[in-house]
Amino acid sequence: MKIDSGDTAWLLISAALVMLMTPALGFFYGGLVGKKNVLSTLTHSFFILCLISVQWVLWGYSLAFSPDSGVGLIGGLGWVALKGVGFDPNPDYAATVPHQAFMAFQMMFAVITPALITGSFAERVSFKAYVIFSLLWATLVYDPIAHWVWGTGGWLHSLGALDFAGGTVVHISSGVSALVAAILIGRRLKSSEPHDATMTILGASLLWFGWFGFNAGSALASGGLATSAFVVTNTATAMAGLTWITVSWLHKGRPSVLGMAAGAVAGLVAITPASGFVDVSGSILIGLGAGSICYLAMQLRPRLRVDDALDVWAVHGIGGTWGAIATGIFATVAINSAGANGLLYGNPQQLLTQVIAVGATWIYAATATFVIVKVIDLTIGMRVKESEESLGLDRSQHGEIAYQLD
Amino acid sequence: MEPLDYAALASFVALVLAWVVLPIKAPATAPAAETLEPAAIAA
Repeated sequence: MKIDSGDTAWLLISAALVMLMTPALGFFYGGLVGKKNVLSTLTHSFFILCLISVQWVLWGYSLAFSPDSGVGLIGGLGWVALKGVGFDPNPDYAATVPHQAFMAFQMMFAVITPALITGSFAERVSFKAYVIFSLLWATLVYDPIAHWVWGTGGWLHSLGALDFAGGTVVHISSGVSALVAAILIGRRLKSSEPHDATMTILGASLLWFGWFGFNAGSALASGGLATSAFVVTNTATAMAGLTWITVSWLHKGRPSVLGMAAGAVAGLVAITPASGFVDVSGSILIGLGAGSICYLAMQLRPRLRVDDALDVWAVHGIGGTWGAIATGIFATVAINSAGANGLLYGNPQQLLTQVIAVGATWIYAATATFVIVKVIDLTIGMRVKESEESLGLDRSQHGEIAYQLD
Repeated sequence: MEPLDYAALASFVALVLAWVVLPIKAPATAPAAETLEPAAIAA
């Protein structure tokens, strides 16, 4: 099989773009927390970049993408430490790039997904608990779901579920897990106001930039499909940002700047599963839905009294769910002949398949996260002491502070 | 144009119209520094 230099270059650049998204997420979250928890929030993203980079090459990639172990639930251990993952293409995944390039691209998805969850338990979880949680969650939740949807022989893959770049694998799994973790861990002693909105806008901007690698890179080739994914990603994101700021203006009387950033991220989330299957008009309606539905979901937080500190469930859980279902509505083979038509193009079965994928991901992610959090809480404990929480995690967990202003 | 294209166009136009007609609510209170007397600031 011949390696295409253009495809390989695009995939490696895309992997680097997606890598940037994890520290960008740290800045997005870091601006939203109080000033005594900035470093710990940044660390939640940066440490995971280190942690999962090693986990992935040792066993994560093998569990997610090596040949199925029999029933479509998990891969095997044949590719542990990248044994058998070399520089020849693997036609099951990407026929024109080195297998290791595909592995590296997928690594960055595995990195950012547990980092997304950390926004739900910001400002109150011990560093030790966060490390163990992230490692267990990546292994027991992310790797199996990635196998279900993207792995050869995965059961949702075999069922025909469409998820171009990770609506179920990345966003529903992390968003639902965030909700469960927030419920189990409990509320903060005192919630904080965002300490630096400019940091959050910078983070959102870098996320948007990196997301071109996430979605357009998922074409795994540098051709027309990557171009289409790039265009619909930008369009849906823009439309969601415009919609959120308008809905917040209607609701609260002013156009919210932080709302615009959250809306753009919701649009990025929602277009992710659809980005290789829908045209530009579909992407506008997906962005419209993301900006309004995720805004409404965020309004539930104070009513439910769940302290999902940085609204991971509303943006990623609900945004991912809308995107996965919208894929079953707006998908068309005119964009991607390897995909399927959705409801609007005469194929209601695809919508049902998407609903099954969404439901299975919700149930498994919620159940497995419940078990992981409970086990950690009963052994080493999830939360810091009240005195440590009051002092702030930057000082109590890391012995450092973000700003020397005196 | 297909019905989906009309829906996309209409949704964008609806947003533009909303920006034209929506008022921006005045702040409930003036920023803190503006409410302080000069003497208080000096102190």
